[in-house]
Amino acid sequence: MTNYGLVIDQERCIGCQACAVSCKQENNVPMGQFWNRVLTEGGEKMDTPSGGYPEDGGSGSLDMQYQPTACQHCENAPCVKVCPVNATYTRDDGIVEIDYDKCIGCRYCMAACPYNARVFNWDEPEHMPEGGTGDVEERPQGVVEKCTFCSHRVDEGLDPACVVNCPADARIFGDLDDESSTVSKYIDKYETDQLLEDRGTDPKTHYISGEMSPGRPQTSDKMESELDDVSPWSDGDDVPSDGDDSAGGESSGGHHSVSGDEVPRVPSVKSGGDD
Amino acid sequence: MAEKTESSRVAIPSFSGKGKLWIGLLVVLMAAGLAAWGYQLTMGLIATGMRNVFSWGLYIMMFVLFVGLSAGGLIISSAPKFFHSHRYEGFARLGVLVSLACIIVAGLLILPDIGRPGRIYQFFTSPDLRSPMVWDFGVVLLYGLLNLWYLWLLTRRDLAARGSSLALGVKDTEAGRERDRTLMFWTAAVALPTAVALHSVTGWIFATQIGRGDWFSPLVAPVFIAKALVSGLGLLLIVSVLADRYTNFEVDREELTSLGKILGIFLAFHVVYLLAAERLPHAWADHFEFWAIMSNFLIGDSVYFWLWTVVGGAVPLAMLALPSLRKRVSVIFTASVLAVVGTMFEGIRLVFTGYEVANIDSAPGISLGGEYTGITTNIWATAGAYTPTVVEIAVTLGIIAFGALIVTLGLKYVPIQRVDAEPSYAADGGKQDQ
Amino acid sequence: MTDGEAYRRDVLKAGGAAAALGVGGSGFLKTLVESEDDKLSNSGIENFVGQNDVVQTVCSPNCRGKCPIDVHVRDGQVKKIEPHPPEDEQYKRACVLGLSHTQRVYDPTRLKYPMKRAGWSPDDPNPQGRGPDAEFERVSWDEALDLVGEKMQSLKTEYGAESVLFHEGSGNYGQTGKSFKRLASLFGATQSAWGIDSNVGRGFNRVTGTGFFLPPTNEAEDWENANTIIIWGADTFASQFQMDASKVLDAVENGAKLVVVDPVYTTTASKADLWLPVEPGKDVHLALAMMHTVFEDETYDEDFLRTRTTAPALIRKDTGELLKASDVFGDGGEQQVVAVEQGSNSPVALEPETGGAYALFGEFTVDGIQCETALTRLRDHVADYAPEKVAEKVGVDAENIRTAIRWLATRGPGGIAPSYAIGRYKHGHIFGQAYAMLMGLTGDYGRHGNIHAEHSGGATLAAGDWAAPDDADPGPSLYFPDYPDAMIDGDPHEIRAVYSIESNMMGNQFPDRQRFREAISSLELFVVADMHHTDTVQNADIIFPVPHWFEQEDIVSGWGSHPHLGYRRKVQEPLWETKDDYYAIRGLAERLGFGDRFPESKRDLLRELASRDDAIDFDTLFEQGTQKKESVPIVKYTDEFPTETGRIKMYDDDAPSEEGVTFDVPRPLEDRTADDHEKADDYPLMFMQKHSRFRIHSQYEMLNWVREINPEPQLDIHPQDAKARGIEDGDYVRVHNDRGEMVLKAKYNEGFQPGLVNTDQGWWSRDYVQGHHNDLTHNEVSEVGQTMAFYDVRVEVEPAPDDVETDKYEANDPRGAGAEAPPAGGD
Ligand SMILES: Nc1nc2c(c(=O)[nH]1)N[C@H]1C(S)=C(S)[C@@H](COP(=O)(O)OP(=O)(O)OC[C@H]3O[C@@H](n4cnc5c(=O)[nH]c(N)nc54)[C@H](O)[C@@H]3O)O[C@H]1N2
Ligand SMILES: Nc1nc2c(c(=O)[nH]1)N[C@H]1C(S)=C(S)[C@@H](COP(=O)(O)OP(=O)(O)OC[C@H]3O[C@@H](n4cnc5c(=O)[nH]c(N)nc54)[C@H](O)[C@@H]3O)O[C@H]1N2
Ligand code: SF4
Ligand code: SF4
Ligand code: SF4
Ligand code: SF4
Ligand code: SF4
Ligand SMILES: [Mo]
Repeated sequence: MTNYGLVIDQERCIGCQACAVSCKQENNVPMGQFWNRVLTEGGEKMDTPSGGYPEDGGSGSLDMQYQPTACQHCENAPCVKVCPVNATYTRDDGIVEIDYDKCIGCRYCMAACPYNARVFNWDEPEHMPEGGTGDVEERPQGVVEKCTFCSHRVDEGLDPACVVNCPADARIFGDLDDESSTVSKYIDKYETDQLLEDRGTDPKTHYISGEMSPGRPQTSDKMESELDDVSPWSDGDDVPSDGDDSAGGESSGGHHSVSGDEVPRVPSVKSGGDD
Repeated sequence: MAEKTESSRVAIPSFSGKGKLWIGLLVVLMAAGLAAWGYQLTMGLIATGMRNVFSWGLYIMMFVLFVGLSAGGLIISSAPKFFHSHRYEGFARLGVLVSLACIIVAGLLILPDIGRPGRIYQFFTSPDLRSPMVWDFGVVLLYGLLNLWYLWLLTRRDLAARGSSLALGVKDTEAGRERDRTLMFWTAAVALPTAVALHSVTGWIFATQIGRGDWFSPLVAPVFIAKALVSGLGLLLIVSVLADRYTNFEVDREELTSLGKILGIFLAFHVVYLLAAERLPHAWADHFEFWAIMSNFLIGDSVYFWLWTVVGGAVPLAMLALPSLRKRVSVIFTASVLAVVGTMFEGIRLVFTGYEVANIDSAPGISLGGEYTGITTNIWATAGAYTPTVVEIAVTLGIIAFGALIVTLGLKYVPIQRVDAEPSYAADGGKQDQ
Repeated sequence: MTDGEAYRRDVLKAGGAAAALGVGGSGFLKTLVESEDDKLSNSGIENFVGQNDVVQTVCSPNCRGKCPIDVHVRDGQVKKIEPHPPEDEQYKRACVLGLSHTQRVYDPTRLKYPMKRAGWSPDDPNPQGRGPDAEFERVSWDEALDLVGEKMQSLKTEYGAESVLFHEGSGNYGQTGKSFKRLASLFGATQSAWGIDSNVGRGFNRVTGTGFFLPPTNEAEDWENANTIIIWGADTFASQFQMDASKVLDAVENGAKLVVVDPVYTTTASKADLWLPVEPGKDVHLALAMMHTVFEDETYDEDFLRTRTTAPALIRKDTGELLKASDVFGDGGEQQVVAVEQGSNSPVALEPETGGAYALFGEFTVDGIQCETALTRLRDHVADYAPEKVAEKVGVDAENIRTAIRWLATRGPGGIAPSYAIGRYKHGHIFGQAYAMLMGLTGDYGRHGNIHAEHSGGATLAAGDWAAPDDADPGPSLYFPDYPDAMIDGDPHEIRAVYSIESNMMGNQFPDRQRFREAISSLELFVVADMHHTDTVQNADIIFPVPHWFEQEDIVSGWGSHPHLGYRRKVQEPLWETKDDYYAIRGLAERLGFGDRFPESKRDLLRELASRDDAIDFDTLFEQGTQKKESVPIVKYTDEFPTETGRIKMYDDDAPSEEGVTFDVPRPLEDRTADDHEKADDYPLMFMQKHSRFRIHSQYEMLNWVREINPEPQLDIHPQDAKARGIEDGDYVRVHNDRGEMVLKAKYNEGFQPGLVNTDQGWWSRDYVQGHHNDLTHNEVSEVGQTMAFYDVRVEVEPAPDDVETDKYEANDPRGAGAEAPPAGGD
């Protein structure tokens, strides 16, 4: 089976908000609503750290990280269980989605979601520009909506909009059931957390922090499974290779002691594009 | 046992000037509520004070209250019957009438809370049996029907005797009355667990939710039952006293006092015991020093907590605990009002504890989806705040007025007052031949 | 699109095969197959994927991004933007702003028709009528161009052509500037000379012979080869993140050490292995302490110093000049410097790029002349700057200073990546000199993994002298900082009219706004071409409405990190009566008698320009939409340095000086950051205006989505400074100094150094409760740096007066931007 999941590398995330805004654009999310929010883990305000400014010229105790947060597509999704009319359901591929035709707008699912991932169209949805944006129709007033993992794109073999638009390659989408997918490998290799793990929702969004991953360079808008060659990952059962581990033979300093006119590592990105 | 006399009368033979004024007031409130709801239907839920960060408000709070309120009457009238007792017989019919009105109010309160009321049919076409809301929907419906049936059962022979068309063709025969007694026993046998189910299931709507900190507690259902007992009985006492005062309905003073005592016991169980049961483990687990544990346990957080525990708990409890005070109708009335109000604030508190604090409260927070009456001027909030709008208040009042109207009309058209005491049930009362 | 679809189907098959091979395929297959037939997704919502017309074009503000983008159009409406992968796909990128053009294209601030200020006429310009209350009347394009043409002609007759200033800002990375300059040259008008961002680069240039803005650096794709990256005074992940975030992150992921030198705990600092919280303006001290450490540790790169720098060159002790080959050898060059051979102590004339056993340190007597090596001089100079000694002054722990430079000196290739911020302090050029020499010590030039600037230069279109034709008699050029004096006092010459394109000078570009307003009011004619109704436009006499980039055809090139040139295809026809700048420029050229010097259409112009650059082929560029300029070297500084000696200058005997300080070696000099500055008591806080991820200068200010995230201007202030002034988080405050004031909301920020406050630049005056950030900045520049010192500013902050009206942001309109649209663009 396919079971889609998302890995977000918080070490890479630079809080640029591209994912938040491109999500709004792609999904025609009304003004005043965000399906995907880039939160600052730090001070009380966006883009501020916690801790105190160093007084002694040292590095001090300041700390800040970004936590992009959208629907976590929980394996054990409370929103699915509470929806009285089956409007919220889990697709075969693991995506938690809403059938807006069925939704009665009771907002039980909002109460159920521990992540506040859902928004409700309290008002007549307003769009800028008025005609709306992106590749899906707007939803009517009176229903709940949320991140769909861009199911309309996934259905067409395209990565979610937020993934394609992340300039830091911090978001990786793929099949958790496929051991060779980057998401699976990353969850295996890196320290990943799920948000509010203690709630038992088993989210399919995993956050890397501690050690930075190589990310998945988004050189096209295709899902990894749509590319014939997903190197630099497909070349072994390990996580992404560094491309030229074989070439160097450097002893100390790892692959970094490139000096003088030695040939450096060539970015090992293969074509996966349209043309 | 043989004579068959006029055994009941209606509480309001005809409306006085005051009575008409009362009806007029209710009609005005209902009209205002209807207008407000109409407005809300055109505007959508943006007309309410709810937003993404605080997505359930007054309607659900009042729903919770009225589900609770609907318990008292039915339990008071059916519990004795179940045990073949004639105690509190004088309250039985009024009790069921009040229960019926409350469950109707509760059911109606859901309607304006629904974002797309036009889709409510999905409850039937596409129900998800995992959802506690579906269970609740079912049990509310069942409970309402049960109340209706019960009220009719209790009064149908009398209605027939009075020639009321509400008897729906039932004849007033002694054999029939006998048969009804048996039916009443069985109805009581069904009604009691249904009431328990109703309150538990409504409690489970919240208690199954891991998403909202304090809700996720196995105690919520028992608390809901206790709450129902307190507020339901409280409301029954209030209505009885009022009916006694303003209509021909008469209460038995002794039974009133006795019920007051029971209310006291319910209050003690609810506010003292369950509260302790709920709070102490947390306080104990979260703190180390004895005094820290005690103070955390004793000192509540929100104003709603205090309104509930002190105004709606400790004060009425004290009033009812003293036998000399308890004898006074005014004391019982006041204590009941406080108990109902207290329960209301408990419901409000419950919803607040779910929404006030977000599990993930990093900046900028949760997008609100509309203008927000809370603490912020932009579209984000990291904590919930809620004030109902005039629209919500008007709609709620309108629906409550409708409930009051049901009770009022019940007092007029249904023989609520029994004149003669029912002959005692024989031990085999339920098994007599018919 | 059809190609795309065909591709997708192939992929489908591949996916099916993969599934059959055991990835548990049936569900996977089913989803895909279903979706092929059914355009309604499960959620009952129509799915438009694949139904859009996709036009490839380029985003073009002054962010160095030049990102190739795909614009999706449906039913004649722009529906979304996505980054477009160019030939070299690793350069696919775009930022939150470029992705939001959807909202810019149709924004109400867009200008629609040519306009003339009511009350302006060529003979009676009524300059007092300019400003916030000015009203405009619609005119035809012909009328507008006639008015401007005639007025320019009459000014030329009366005051000379140089009384007309052609001012060009940085708003568009297309080719308009070239035709603008060509017309200016032919007419003889005064031309603008850039006076922003050039400080650090000029200092760097004194050492290496290259650099004006930031010096050249290896292209971004090479950054992952760096082992140590010292980001110095740059919030790379906020104000250059759009291009290089993933590149820097890749380096870090590969094990590079990231050091960030910044008084603020920025997003970039939050990713650093080591953050040095330097005090504003103390960067030169810090760099000297690092040099000290290199000498102390003896970790300098001897080979590099001998081969590629003047480190071994001898300095005459008598004159302080470098000993020249001509002084020593009969046939020696006058510019050639001399070293001594180690051991033999015999003098050798230094050739570029030539190593030898030259003595790096020591005193020598050559031909009776007492000398010491340049490196000795430098070592002695920095002897006073031991980390411990400067630690307190620069605010950085001594051991951390050492750690940072040790990483760079000992971990292999790497570099220092400063940005423009340090150049926004008056004497910022000294830092350019200092770090250029520091990297000379560590030998970090010309290798893979070397970094010299926060972003690289990328590809530019080299069109030769087209902009300044041989036969023209061009007028003088005027540095930005000199504008007000020229306009007000006629110094160095009188300016009577300004034609401004791609600039928001009154809205963000220039400091000391009130003085600038006065300067503008002495003009007879102020012509502004823009696409939005900016503060500058509001001060104009004649407004030329320019179309959005999606409605102009252009070749996007210019100073910036993208190694591709991009062809900006039109996505839609210009809305309303807007017209490309080229239309106005050519129209004026016709009226001024130079019509025949300008190709008829924009397309012809672009073809002409492209034909002048051998590395570019117009048709390829046009068809592909992007073309990578292969001639751009990935690794820089591989050849001899363009200095007199072909080497990095470790000592400058021809150095300029200012305020009594000569820069033969880097010598710290401060202006308002000096603790004993005369205004330090009145205005104790330093005030900077960081570049924000939410705007490119004043562009994109109107994006509703972004305004939801970043709704209004804020003053970042450390809680300690705020509390001392009775200011709570979120209070409105008045920031003021002797030039002006602004009122805005205070934002507590623990990441800000106490004593330093900030408001991100780029907000329009409509966004402030009162005033503007550039009411506080000043226009004093250093003679050597000639660069506006926006950050070298002192202010005081106090709670906003009670009567200030803040309801603009309290009016609770959470669904859109906080500010209302300015007076319309003419509808
Ligand atoms: N998103 C976005 N990107 C942009 C732009 C934009 O407006 N928006 N503008 C573009 C342009 S034209 C330019 S010139 C560049 C500007 O790019 P930068 O110059 O990098 O931008 P700033 O944010 O002004 O400054 C960078 C950092 O310098 C720090 N700093 C301030 N004073 C000092 C000091 O005295 N010493 C040290 N060591 N650090 C200091 C600030 O805290 C800040 O974090 O960005 C370009 N890119
Ligand atoms: N206080 C303070 N002020 C600063 C800075 C600072 O840090 N602090 N930074 C400074 C720096 S580094 C820079 S580079 C400058 C940048 O200052 P500007 O060069 O003025 O840059 P923008 O704000 O981008 O304004 C460009 C204008 O060009 C318009 N435009 C865009 N495309 C076109 C076109 O095709 N044709 C025409 N005619 N107009 C077009 C845009 O709508 C916009 O109004 O600002 C400086 N100002
Ligand atoms: S994050 Fe919330 S909305 Fe999404 S699946 Fe989990 S519970 Fe449901
Ligand atoms: S609001 Fe809609 S999706 Fe959510 S629980 Fe109710 S019916 Fe289901
Ligand atoms: S997957 Fe799609 S819907 Fe979900 S956050 Fe990303 S862009 Fe939004
Ligand atoms: S787009 Fe990427 S880097 Fe930017 S905020 Fe989102 S996850 Fe972080
Ligand atoms: S604004 Fe700059 S970085 Fe952002 S998309 Fe446009 S060109 Fe790229
Ligand atoms: Mo700049």
